[in-house]
Amino acid sequence: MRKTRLLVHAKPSPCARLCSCLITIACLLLPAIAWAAPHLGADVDLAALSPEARATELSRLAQAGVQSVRWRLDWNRVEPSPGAFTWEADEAAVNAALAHGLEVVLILGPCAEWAVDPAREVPADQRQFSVPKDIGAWRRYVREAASHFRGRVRHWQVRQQPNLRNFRGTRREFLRLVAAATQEVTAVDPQSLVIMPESGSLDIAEISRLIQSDAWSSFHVLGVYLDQRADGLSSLALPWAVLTNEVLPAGDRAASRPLWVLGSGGSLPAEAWVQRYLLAWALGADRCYLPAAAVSSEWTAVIRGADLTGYLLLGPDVWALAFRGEQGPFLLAWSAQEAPVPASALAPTVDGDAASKAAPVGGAPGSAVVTQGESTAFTVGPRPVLIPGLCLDAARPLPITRADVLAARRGLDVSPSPLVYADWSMPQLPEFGLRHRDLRHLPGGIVASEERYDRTCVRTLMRPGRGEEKEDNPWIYFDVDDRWLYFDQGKTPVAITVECDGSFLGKQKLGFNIIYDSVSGYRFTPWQWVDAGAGWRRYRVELNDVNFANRSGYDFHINAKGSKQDLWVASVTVEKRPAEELR
Amino acid sequence: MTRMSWALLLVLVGAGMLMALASTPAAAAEYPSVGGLQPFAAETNYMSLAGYLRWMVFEKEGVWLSMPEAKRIVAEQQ
Repeated sequence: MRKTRLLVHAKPSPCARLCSCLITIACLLLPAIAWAAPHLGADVDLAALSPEARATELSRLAQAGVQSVRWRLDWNRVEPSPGAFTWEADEAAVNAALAHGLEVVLILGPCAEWAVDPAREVPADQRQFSVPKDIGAWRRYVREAASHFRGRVRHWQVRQQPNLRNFRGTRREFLRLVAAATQEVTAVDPQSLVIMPESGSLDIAEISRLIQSDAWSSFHVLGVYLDQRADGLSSLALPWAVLTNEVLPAGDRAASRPLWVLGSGGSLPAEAWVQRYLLAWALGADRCYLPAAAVSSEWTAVIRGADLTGYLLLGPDVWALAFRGEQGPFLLAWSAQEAPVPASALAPTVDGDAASKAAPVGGAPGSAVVTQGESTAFTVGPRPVLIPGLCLDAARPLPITRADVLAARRGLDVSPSPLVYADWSMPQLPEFGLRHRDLRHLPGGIVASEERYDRTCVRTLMRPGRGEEKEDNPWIYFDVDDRWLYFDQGKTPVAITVECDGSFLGKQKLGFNIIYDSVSGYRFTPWQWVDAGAGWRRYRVELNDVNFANRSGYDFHINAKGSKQDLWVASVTVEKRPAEELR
Repeated sequence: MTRMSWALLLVLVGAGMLMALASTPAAAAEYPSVGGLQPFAAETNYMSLAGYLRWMVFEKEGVWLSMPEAKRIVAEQQ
């Protein structure tokens, strides 16, 4: 990871020091809207630890400010055969956590292997990801668990994140499990709350559809995940800002659903978890759960008792959160990528003492403060750096909106343009608001750049044989710039034009369709045959229901599977059509 | 191998691990909607809808659904 430098003056005059003190006092006296920290939770399987290790870990977590712990109440562990329950391991774990003053959140699941319908032919190592044949068996497990831990456990999550790797049932089947769990736990204890995890990563399209459905009333807390791939605040903040400012207020029933951050769907370095906790704070999450290993007093002590008062944009994708703590106001700033930051972004509000007190949060290498001649430079990297002693009246107020996030984006603003394109023969701007090249790591999308008829183009790399599926790459992925179109909900009609080479095998041997993020999920456009014969041809498809919300990291992909030969694409253009064409 | 070479190797391995982490795609949230496609045609690679869904899920996630599972999912999409 590269670092960003913020230059500030290190040796202020006595007059400047006096002014700085007065400003600091004024800042402390100014009334400001402040947000308290979200509840800090830790994920740790206490039932799998020895009593000694459990006690040591719980003491460490409690000292670090953790307020609750969460683990799986493994259905296979507590009900190894139908109707035979055993609670010893989880009983000891729950009691130990409560003894340390920590609340317990239990995850119901995964599926008991004996409960899976053999007719589904699920491989043995995948049965835990399946669903019970009999919903009554699920109800009994939930009811017994809620009864056993009544008065001690009040928060119940339904299964791990139900994405395609963790859940092999249908969407309807998952919602049925949620509804049944809610009925059972609230029958035992009406004060209990059921957490429903989303299946994506801040998948606002899915959540939007959920709000419109009857399922929205079948749980109490919405659990979300922060994409593990996103390393900058902007890419994480955008879906959240849209979710909280646009999607949730759109439904009357939405107001009472707390939002919990349940994880990221993958492993992350410790500093990335710190970033995510701070992000959850900045965006108004009620709770945030981190892996226990990522929780450390080194960073939790810094923010303990502080209130978040706003944020600063220090440059493209360089964000800083402004806090008011017992020792006065301070900033936490970090950056995932190098970006030029003018000294004026911070210098007017920093004094020399503040510069000398700045330090990275946590002990591992990350951000740092270095003196260069008469200036002090903050190197801001992935690990947040603490900058105390500032007047933060320049901080922007919360909440962070879609416009705030997009304004912080780096790169050319393509929003005024009527179209975006990828044309890899263009020497200056081969990808204008339409990314492809950095999406070639996505599944089935490892395609090649080739020269063809004096143009640079992209070629699919398809493998037709059985057993060659892992080497089969029939997809060309694209992501439209979020400033041009993002979570549009079908308001803007668009047209996609694909320029490709003709079929050298002849008629009806080469074709493609486009799989795109629509208001009703990923959809296919009609199959388009490519005309026979060499030479570039253009095919245009009009779409009236695009969402383009970066789900799974892209907006659409060209799919050539079904062709007898590879597809060579020279350019792709996405244009906005007049809104009247929707009528 | 000199100490410098070992250090270089460690840096390269570390960078490779970071790149692998960064490029790991998140698991997809939902099954692709194949319900509207024509089975046994080019757009389904001349497969049944359930067979095509199985191929797509394997391509995306590296996991094969069983045919009964795929049929249930397709039935819900139609």
